[in-house]
Amino acid sequence: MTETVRIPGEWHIGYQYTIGTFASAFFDGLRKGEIWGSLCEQNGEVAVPPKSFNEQAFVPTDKLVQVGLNGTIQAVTIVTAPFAGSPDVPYAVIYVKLDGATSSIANYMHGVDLGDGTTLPDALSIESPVHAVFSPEPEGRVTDFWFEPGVA
Amino acid sequence: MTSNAAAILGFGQTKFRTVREDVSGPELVFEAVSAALADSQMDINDIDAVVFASAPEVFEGVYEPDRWSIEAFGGVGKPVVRVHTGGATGGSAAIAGARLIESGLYETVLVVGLQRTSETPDAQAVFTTIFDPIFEQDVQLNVITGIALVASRQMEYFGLTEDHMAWVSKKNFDNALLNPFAHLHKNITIEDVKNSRPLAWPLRLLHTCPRSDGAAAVVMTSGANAKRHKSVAWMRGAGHATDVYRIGDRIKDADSDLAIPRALGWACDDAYREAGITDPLNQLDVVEVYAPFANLEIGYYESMGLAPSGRGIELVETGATALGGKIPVVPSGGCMTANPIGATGLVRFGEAALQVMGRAGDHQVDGARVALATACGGIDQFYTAAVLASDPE
Repeated sequence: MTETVRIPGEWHIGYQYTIGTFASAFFDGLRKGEIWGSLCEQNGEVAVPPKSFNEQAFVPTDKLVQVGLNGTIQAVTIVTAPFAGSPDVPYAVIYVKLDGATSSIANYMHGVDLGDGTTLPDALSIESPVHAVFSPEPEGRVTDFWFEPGVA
Repeated sequence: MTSNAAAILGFGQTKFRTVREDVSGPELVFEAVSAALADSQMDINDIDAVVFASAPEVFEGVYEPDRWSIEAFGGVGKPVVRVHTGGATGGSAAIAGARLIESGLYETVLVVGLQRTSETPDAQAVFTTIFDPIFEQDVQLNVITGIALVASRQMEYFGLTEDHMAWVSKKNFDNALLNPFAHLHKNITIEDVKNSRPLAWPLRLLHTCPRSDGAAAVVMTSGANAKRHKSVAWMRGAGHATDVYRIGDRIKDADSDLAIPRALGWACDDAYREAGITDPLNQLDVVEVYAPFANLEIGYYESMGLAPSGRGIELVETGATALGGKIPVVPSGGCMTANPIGATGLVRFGEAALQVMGRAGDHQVDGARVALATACGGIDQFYTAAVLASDPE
């Protein structure tokens, strides 16, 4: 029987993602310790992160609006198995509805002892209060902020 | 159902494995197509058009895997289209094939699905690239973390527990032991599931699916032509539906919740309407749901209309979805025991066809005459549903 051969290959392809003015305003806000969303006056939805149109009403967004830095957890996971490029495990990722927003945004949750990551600490349960904390060295990425437990 | 309904003549699938080192990608396709033609008692010259299904080609590392496989599915000289809706690809391709026949464009169509997830060592690195590069990729969202976030809401919304998930895992692994094509043939216990490696709370290894190499193919033909064949599965109804891109935009209000994917509900509504199904729990005999994680299957019970709002877990608690239960779900073992992504939706479709043709072998549901096959793709974006039956109406 012939021994089968596998030929190594790699894809190395770099990208520059064009994000537009609405998302750029969001990252500019993070540098100032602010979080911005987009308001659709037709249905009152405030999308965070912002976008230049509202899909429900299917109209352009009317304006950027600042939302609160406090919010509540809407979904949570604690990652215990490392993936390529992930932070040290365990780490927590949550979706948060910030005060004044109608959608939720994902980010890392810091400031909670996760133990071995197999049980959910009370501070991470759904509807728990959290607040945004900003990096002193912003890089223009969504990780320029993260969440910590409680109200700011 | 209209009089020009399409019918499935046969199904072919490869034995799913981590790596099939003995064949190249196109050779894998040839194997599945040959099996489907033999099962249908048809010849490649009987095929008028081909629909090809493959999900992210980053897995294969070959751009346009449809082009790579042209000869292997007998595509030369024929119309060929590729369908891509992420994991739902195989389901979308099956429905597209049926619609090509129902429209009167072609008499007989071959639908083919291929995926080799083993060609790259890090599946989750590939899956990270399906997330939004502006707001989501930097937070390390991938399929496992994404589905774990869904599970956290299901615990809140309808009381999902580790016990429910472990029961579904064991059910599906037990069913796979009866299916020679399943990738994983493992005797597992509830305790094995509960003690398996934690990946992302609340998910553990045995709540998830393997990465599989494999291909599948279905031959379908017009109703008029099908009447000349002894064993066929009739396409009685189908639906596709799509939801918004960002996960955070699906955590808004009661009508849009990650816990119960509304887009699968919309797809099923359309399929049921076309098939004349008003009471799915009593009118369906078997379901081949595309659920690569145990928690997703339980949420889908509600989306598919098998349980009232918030009560899908009762089908677990009563054992209703086990083989021999009221409504067996994935008697084949399903995606949790074999997941060649772009082909998986077509495997669900083909398995549902085998069930209503009475040719499913050891995992046959006794007397099955009406089956539902679904597929899901993206992180909750694309859903398909198809109702297949032993009779044309």
